[in-house]
Parts: sequence; structure tokens; C-alpha cells
Amino acid sequence: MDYAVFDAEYLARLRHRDQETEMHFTAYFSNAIGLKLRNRVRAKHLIDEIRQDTFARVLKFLQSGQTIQYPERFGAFVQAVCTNVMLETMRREAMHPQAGEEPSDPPDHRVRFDTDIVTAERKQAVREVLAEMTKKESTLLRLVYLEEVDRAEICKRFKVDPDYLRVLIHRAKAKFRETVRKKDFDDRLQ
Amino acid sequence: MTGYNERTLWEENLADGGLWRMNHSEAVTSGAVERYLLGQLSAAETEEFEIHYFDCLECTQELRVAAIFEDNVRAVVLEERRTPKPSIWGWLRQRPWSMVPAVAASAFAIVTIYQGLVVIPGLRGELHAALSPQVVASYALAISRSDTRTLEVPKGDRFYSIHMDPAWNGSFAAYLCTVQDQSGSIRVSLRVPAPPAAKPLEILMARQALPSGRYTVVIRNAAEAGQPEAELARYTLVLKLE
Repeated sequence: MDYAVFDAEYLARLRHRDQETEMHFTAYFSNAIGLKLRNRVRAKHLIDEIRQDTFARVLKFLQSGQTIQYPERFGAFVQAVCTNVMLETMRREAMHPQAGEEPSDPPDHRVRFDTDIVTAERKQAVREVLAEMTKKESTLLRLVYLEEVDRAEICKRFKVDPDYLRVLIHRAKAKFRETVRKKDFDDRLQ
Repeated sequence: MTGYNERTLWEENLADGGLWRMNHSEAVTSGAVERYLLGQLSAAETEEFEIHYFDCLECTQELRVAAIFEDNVRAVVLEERRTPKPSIWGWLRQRPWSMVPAVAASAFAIVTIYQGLVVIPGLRGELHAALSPQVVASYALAISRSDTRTLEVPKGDRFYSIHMDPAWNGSFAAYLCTVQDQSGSIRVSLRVPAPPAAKPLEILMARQALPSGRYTVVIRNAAEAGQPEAELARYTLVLKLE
């Protein structure tokens, strides 16, 4: 994906419904919105709903002739719209849950086995990264990503600073990217 | 890097009202990507970072890689949980037939070891003792019930001999000898060939054949088919195994 720097021309193309720019807009912000919502909204259908509603409101705003004062901060504008849509959606869901659309105890969609986030190659790379770690590090990393384990409790039990977890993940992530790159598993990480 | 503590500056600006926006250098220095995913950012810091990365290609990419890594680690951990490494007992429970050769081999090994360490040495010892020359104590049994001489078998003697002088008339080809305890139960019964003329009837007894006690030894003629069997004599045996 070609990530263009946002500017007045980009917004003008969106305003005039340039198809290529619209495709770029939805692709780029789908990713950003997905990352924002992954730790906040569990139900996949709500994530999709918030994403579509955000796109619709932003495009409607631009195409209505209104302007954004700082075009280079278009991303921040989209983020703000997304936050509003998210809060509205969550408020509405809390007041009027849509019974029947989702099971009462929906699965954790953050592990999206049905999408291309989790792949056999990436899992292999993860196993290689874990194998190269010390036992303590790999155990810590496994525990950090288990939802039922409190991270503060992990730090207490392993006598590590919360910042140690951040550094550990940072190093593991870099190693993961390097492994994927070396093995030519997946160029979408680049 | 600018040489000053950018994280502190970022936090100070947030505290002042959030007018100051995080830039990429500050996001990198503060480890915002990892802290964001770990939930270590405050609400204000989270908002600042989201405002930033929506405009920042590099941070979005870093965040995406970190999220992909997180999802794949979680998938690997869940797989490990679903397919735990089978213990040897679990493995055997799933394949009970595979235990047959192992159990047979183990049983064979146990039997072999037991034979080698216990049975065979014991048999060797018994054979050696049986083949070695030994002195056997001999005791003459009295026919009178009032004779209460005790036959004491010394400790370590594996055999003793009892002999009875014939107290009957005539001679028979063989005799039937029974040893009864005080309740009348027959404890030993054997057929004894007739001794040479004027020789006592002699029986070699194993030490473990009878426990210490008072017994009656009854001698009968071993009648052939169609011939009457008659009691010829009774002897008293008072046995004491030391």
C-alpha cells in the first residue's frame, strides 16, 4: 500500500470522490481503526459497524463542502470521528443490546483465525522467536498475552519492572519481523 | 533523539491540557507502541498516541507488526494449551496395546532378577546342603505310652531318623506308617519296605515334616489286594525342634 502524506490535494480528491483516493482512504484507515478498536471492542460486527460509520461520516463531512483547517492532521480528524462513533455505538449497545445478532458470550475476535492475521508461517516465526528466548522470557511473553492473567501480577511474580515487559516485547517483535523477512514468509509485514 | 527527556516533556504537556501533540520521535523514545498494546498508557497518553499514529505511517506499521505478533503468539499459546505435550502416562493411556511388550519385558526382567538373586542361590544352597555329608540324629521310639522321652532335634539339623523295633509277630513285605497328632489327624503317611531280619523299621524324617508336639506313630501291615489290613503297633513320639 502506498501511504501518501495527507494534504489539501488528498482531501480535495476525496471531496470529489476520486475512486483511487477513496480506496486508499478506506484501506489505510481500516488498518488504523482496527488497531484502535482491537483492545476496546470485542464483537467483530461492532468493529465493522464503527469502521463503516466512521468512513461514512468523514466522507460526508468532506463532500458537504466543509473544510479541515490542518489537512496534514487529517488522520487525527478521522481518529476523533472514530472515537465519537465508537462511544456512541458502545453507549447504544449498553442501553439497547441487539439480542440475537451475536451470542451472549461472543468469542474473542481479537484472535482472528478466520482472517490472514494468524498464518502458519507467522506462527512458525513466533515459535522460532520463543525458542531463541530464555525460558523466563518465553514464559513471560506467553503469560503477557493471556487475557486471564493480570500483567501487574506477572511482573510481581517474576520480579520484573513493567518497563521490562515493554522492552521484551519490543525485542521479540523486532526478532519476529527479522525472522519473517529472512524466511521470506510474508512481505505484508514490511 | 534530541538529547533531552522527551517522555517527560510529553507527559508535562499532557498535564498542561494536551495542546502539545506527540511526534514520532517522542513516540519511539517512550516505547508508545508496546506500552499502548500492553495497556500501560494513561487515558490521556492513549488519546495522544492514537491522534499521532493515525497520521504516522511508521507508528501505524510498528503497531500493526506488534498486533500481528501478539495475535500469533496468542494463537501459538492457545494451540499449545489445546494440544498439551502428552505425558508418558497419557501416551500409554491412548495406546494401551503398546504397553503389552513393555509389561511382558518388565515381568520377564523381574522374574529373571528374582530367580538370579533369590531362587537360584537358594536352590544351589539346598542342593549343596543335600549333597554334603551330614550327621543325622537317630531316635528309638518307645512303644509304651508312659515313656515320655523327648526327641530333641538340634537347630540346623535338616533331617532326623526315627526307628522302631518290631513289636509284632511275623514279617510282612511292607508296612504302612502313619503319624497322628493328638487330635487323631494323620500328619504323615508313607509306605515303608520291610527292613532286613532283626533290624528296626527306620524312617528318615525331614525337619519341616512335623512341628514340635506329641504324636502317635501307627504301624500297619501294608496288605495286598484282598488281604486284611491290621494295626501292628503304636509308638509315642514327643518331638521338640530346637
